[in-house]
Amino acid sequence: MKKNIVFIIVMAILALLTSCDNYVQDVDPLIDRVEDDRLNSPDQLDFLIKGVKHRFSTMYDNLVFLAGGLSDELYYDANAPGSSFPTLREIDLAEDIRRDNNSVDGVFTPLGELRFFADNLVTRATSIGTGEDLEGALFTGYFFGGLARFFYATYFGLYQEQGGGVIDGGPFIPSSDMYDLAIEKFTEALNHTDYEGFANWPDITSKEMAERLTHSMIARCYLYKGDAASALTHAEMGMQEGDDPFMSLYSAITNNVWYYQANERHQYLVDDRFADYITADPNEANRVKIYKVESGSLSWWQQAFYLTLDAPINCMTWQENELMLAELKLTSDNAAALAHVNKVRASHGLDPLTTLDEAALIAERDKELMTTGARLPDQRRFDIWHLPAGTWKYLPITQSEINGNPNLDVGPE
Amino acid sequence: MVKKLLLVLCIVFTVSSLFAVDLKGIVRDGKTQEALSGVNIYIAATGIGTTSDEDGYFHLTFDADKDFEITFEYVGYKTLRKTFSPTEDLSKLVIDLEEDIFQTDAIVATGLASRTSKSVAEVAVARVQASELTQMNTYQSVNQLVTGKIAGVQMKPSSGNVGSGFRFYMRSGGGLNGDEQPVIYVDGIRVDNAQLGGDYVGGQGVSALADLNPEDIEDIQVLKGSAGAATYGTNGSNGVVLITTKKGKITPGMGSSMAINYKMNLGYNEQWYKYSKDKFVSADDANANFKTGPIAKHSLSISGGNQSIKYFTSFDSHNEEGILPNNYMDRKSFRGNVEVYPHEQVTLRFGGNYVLNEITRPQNDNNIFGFLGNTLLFPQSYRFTDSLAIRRIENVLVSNRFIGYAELVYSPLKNLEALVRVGMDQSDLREDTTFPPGLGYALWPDGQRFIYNRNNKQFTLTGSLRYETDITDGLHSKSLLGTQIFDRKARTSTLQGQDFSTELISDIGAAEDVTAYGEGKIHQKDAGIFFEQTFAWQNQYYLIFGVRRDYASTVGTQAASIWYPKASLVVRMDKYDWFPRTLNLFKLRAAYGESGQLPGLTDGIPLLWTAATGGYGAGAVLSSIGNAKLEPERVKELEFGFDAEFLNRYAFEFTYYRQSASNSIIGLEEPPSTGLTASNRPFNIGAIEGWGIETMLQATPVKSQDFQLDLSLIYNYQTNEVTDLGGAQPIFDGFDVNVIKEGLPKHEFYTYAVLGATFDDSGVYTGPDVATERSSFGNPIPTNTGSFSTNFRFLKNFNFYFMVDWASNLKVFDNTGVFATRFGNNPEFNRLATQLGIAGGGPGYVAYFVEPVEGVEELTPGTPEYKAAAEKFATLDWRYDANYIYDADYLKIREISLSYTFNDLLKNVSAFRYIRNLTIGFSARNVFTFTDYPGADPEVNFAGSRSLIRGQDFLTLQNPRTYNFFVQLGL
Repeated sequence: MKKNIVFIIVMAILALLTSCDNYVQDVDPLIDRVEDDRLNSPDQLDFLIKGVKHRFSTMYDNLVFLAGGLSDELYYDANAPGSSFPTLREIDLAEDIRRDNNSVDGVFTPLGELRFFADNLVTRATSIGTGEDLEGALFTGYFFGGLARFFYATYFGLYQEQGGGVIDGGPFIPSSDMYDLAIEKFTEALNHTDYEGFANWPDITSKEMAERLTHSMIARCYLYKGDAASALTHAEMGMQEGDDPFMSLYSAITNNVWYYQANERHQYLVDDRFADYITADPNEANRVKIYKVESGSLSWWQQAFYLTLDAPINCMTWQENELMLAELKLTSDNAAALAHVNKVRASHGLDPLTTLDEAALIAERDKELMTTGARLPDQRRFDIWHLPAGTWKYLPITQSEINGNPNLDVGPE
Repeated sequence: MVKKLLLVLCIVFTVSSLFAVDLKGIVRDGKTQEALSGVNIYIAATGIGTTSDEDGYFHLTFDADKDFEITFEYVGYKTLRKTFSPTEDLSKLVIDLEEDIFQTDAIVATGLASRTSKSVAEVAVARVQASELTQMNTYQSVNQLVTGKIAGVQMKPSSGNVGSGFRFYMRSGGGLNGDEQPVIYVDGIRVDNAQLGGDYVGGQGVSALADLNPEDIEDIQVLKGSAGAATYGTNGSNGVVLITTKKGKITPGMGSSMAINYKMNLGYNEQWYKYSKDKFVSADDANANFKTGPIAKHSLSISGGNQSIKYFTSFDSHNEEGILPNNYMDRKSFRGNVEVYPHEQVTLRFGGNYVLNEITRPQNDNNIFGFLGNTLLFPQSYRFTDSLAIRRIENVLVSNRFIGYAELVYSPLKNLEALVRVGMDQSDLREDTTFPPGLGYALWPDGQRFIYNRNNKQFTLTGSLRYETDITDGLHSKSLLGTQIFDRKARTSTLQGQDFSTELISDIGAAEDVTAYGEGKIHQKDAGIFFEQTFAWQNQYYLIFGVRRDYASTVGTQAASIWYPKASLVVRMDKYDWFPRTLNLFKLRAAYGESGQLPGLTDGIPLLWTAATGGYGAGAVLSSIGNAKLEPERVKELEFGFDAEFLNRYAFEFTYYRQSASNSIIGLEEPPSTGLTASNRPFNIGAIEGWGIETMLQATPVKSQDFQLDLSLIYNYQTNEVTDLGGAQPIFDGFDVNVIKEGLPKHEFYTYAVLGATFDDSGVYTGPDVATERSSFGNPIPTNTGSFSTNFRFLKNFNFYFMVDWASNLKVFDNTGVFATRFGNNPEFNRLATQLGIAGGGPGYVAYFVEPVEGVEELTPGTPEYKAAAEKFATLDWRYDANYIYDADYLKIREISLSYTFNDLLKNVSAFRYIRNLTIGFSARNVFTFTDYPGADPEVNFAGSRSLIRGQDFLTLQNPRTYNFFVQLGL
């Protein structure tokens, strides 16, 4: 009797031991998340393409917002209604931006994700090797991979005067080398523009637009790098009058940060010179969109581009391409340069200029490319920095990167 | 053949020697000779039993063929076991019971399903007799029953709002993995202890424990570490809290076995720390928001029983308001516990608790809509949100919750007991937030609505088999085999919309824009098998060993599983003949156990993607980063100690413990350039060691009919050190102040020190001299904690209770101070800046927000006054966190109460003879705090209970001072 009981107990234990394993494995699958390897299929490529673009949009609005604050385009005023982020003030003053400034984290971290999503899409699409969205996926991966590297090179730096970024936990890559990497990516993207699906995209709607846009991007990289000859070659193949702008897109769910921070609240305001432009020529209001904010006896100017949650932001327009051409031909063929500028002006109903010098070109860029993050690199390139030496001309590579990346070691605040 | 014959003879002989036993007698208190009624009298071997009546008499009849042992059991007295022979005269027994002041015979849990008494428990027993506490005092929430009453356990609210979350810290904090929070069982059912709240109101979540009514609790036991909690498996590595609710008792007298209890409690909460104008320019505005919060609590319980059934039912209504507007809790709780004995071999228990809880929360912490954020940061208040607009923000959580269990105990054979317990904790929560339109809220001036729903169901099943036998004379064996299964399903959904055309219609469907929507679903299971074996020699030496095998769900990888062993030894020194009689108990104990944390549900999956919607439709973005090579963490604990009782009036308990965790799982931030930042990646980064001591001294120097003095003193020491991070970089919290780093205790404040002021050649202050390397600034977890309490019963019916608790060697980072200084709200900083000539101009970190102070003269550089001002100014520089880390040692007069029992007076009045008990009392809580900390309260944490951030004060709300008046009536 005893032996039987012992036997039963032992069998019960064994049964329990094995069935416990099966029991705990039997859980409902996740509904809101999916494992990486289940996305390795041609019909998931469109989902991945949209993810890259989504990440682009969520970092781009913040990026150009901070770039505006760092430059002389936007400024912080503690008296303005709703201004409260000391991190934004710190960026505006630029004299001592802490590396743990969490507004900078708010751009640097998603930029890393954008770069990863883009590179990851290339790798994945290459290994899948088939499907109707294959070319679209490869184009997206290369294009946005190039764009991410462009952003590192243009907007971030290790020290106040040293621009550049980091890829995948590696060493610091100075701007010049980073632009080369961006160009490499954009160049490869040009090999993948033969894609019918462009017609269904909300942002890049045809093969031709894809090609011209990519050339404009390459031109911009060369221009900011300082290689005028290469820049000119690509700008000539870039966007043309009539091309739709390439923009980052938003919705009520994933909204444009400018709507909240530079409209509902006034964390940054637009420099007064923009009002002066309109005073000098009222037609400038067609492209310099601003409105007045008043509080008691104080008043400021605020941007009027992004007044709804879903307002898109320009990233490259045919007008910008024209201005690049103008800049590149300024000394060698001033008349042609002037024509480029006037083409841009005409598109906004503005009277043409009669002469064009560097100062006028800079002013044109200031007005045309307002709120798209161009002012910061322009101030550096044209040596018109508005603050004393020793201030930050780039957004600092963040403390999170330094803490986790042994190749970067910088001292305390 | 001979054997068979002998057997037959034995049986015949036995059968023919069957006696009819007629047992009669009286049970008394050994000291006073007072009769004791309601004493449980039974024969363990057969289960036959009875209870003594109101005069202490008992009568039991049965048949017996040999000697039998009778057990006399009564709460507050030591259990007596006496052997009788059926042939002796049993008609006039006089049984005297000895008092059990220190409850050494009370049944305690020392592991899952194992039950023993404190007199032989192998681990330090941490037990609070809650039903006694609630008799003499009144408590608003469960943590108040634990604070200062158990050695080695800290249970703190994470904010001062009503219904706030709790944060536990046991011993030296266990392993590194997880959030240091123990698992909570109520009546053997694992309950949800999540920090709730889908909408952001700052760091204060609402605890699921806020649903538990303190009046329903019989006792709370805590297994503090792996040595005790090993049989709970992975859930036990941060400790296990076992809450038992009241069950029916046979309460004799008045001819009825039913007891009705009604308790009414009225009181109020008030602000005790007033912000001062010396620290904040805007102090008056901050103080103006505070109010007193009334408390009204009514509890009614009906309990009773007889030989076949015992029951306890209660209804409780609790209404409490906090010290800031828009914070209240309205809780209704219903409970019924039943115990049935349908057969002498079977006990059936079942019960249920249904709670309806409505809590509203004020906006606070890191929040532009908060009361404190709008009155403590800037010298001009309400810059972000207007004061009326803040008050109009509504945040309401309504939860209804049911916790129910059923338990069957079956003893088919004399020494075999089978137990099956099944239970469920099911809760439904709905949270609504409303920002009415037209009040100018930044971000959503046209109003916003937010709805969050959470449904959580968790199911616990425990089955165990217990077998006891005497292997030889004097060697007793107890074997326990069991299994435990846990299954949890949770579903959540959120919806957020903004921009309403009119404030008259606030239905979320009227919002112009939907700005967030989503749902979530979690399903997880744990299962374990455990075995425990006890050998007891002569009731003096005990050897216990056991093991548990644990499993948990993981999605996508093999189910993680692990073995956890335990072993312990107990020696009752007082049983030696040579041992001095004055020490009526001296127990040496040593215990070892292992437990730990299994990887979380999705931790083993390298990359998880989710869908994010925006301007392009729904696209794939990363949701979490995992680690396929993840292994379970293991926490080992060794504890030694002794329990002593002296002259039956003094008790002393001492425990030394050592915890060591290896393969601790902790999330590491990948550098942003990798793009793998959707979550921290879990790693087994290494090891942490902790050790400490716990001591408790209890004394009852005076005990008579009219006077009794009970004293209790607890002292704990704990320390820990991260010994190995496996080569990883130190891990900082999001604010770069608390760190996990080799060679330091966890959560240590580790930042750059400010060494003094620097000056240029003309003597002008040029900024602080800052260290180039980080250094340690102390720890937010105190090294020394303790409490002292006294209960003094005088003039027979008055009861005075006083408790003080303290903590020393801890620090708090005053982030409120940092921001206030930064925004120009620090009068001293402003004055010094004016004296140094840098207010209103000069470097940005000062000039931007600090205006020159009227009437303050600028000092001349180079002069001693200037230098002194500069040195002081350097220590207030808000850019360096080290300047705002303060000593936060504290001593709190935690509880004072005075009550009077009318029972004697009532006995003399015939009209009141049905009243069994009438007590009236007053109490106060958080009466006074002595502390070095200059901020509001050294006990709050702005990031709530669940993060790497510890000991940071950022606009959190202080714990209130509370006054109560209560009346307790028993029929």
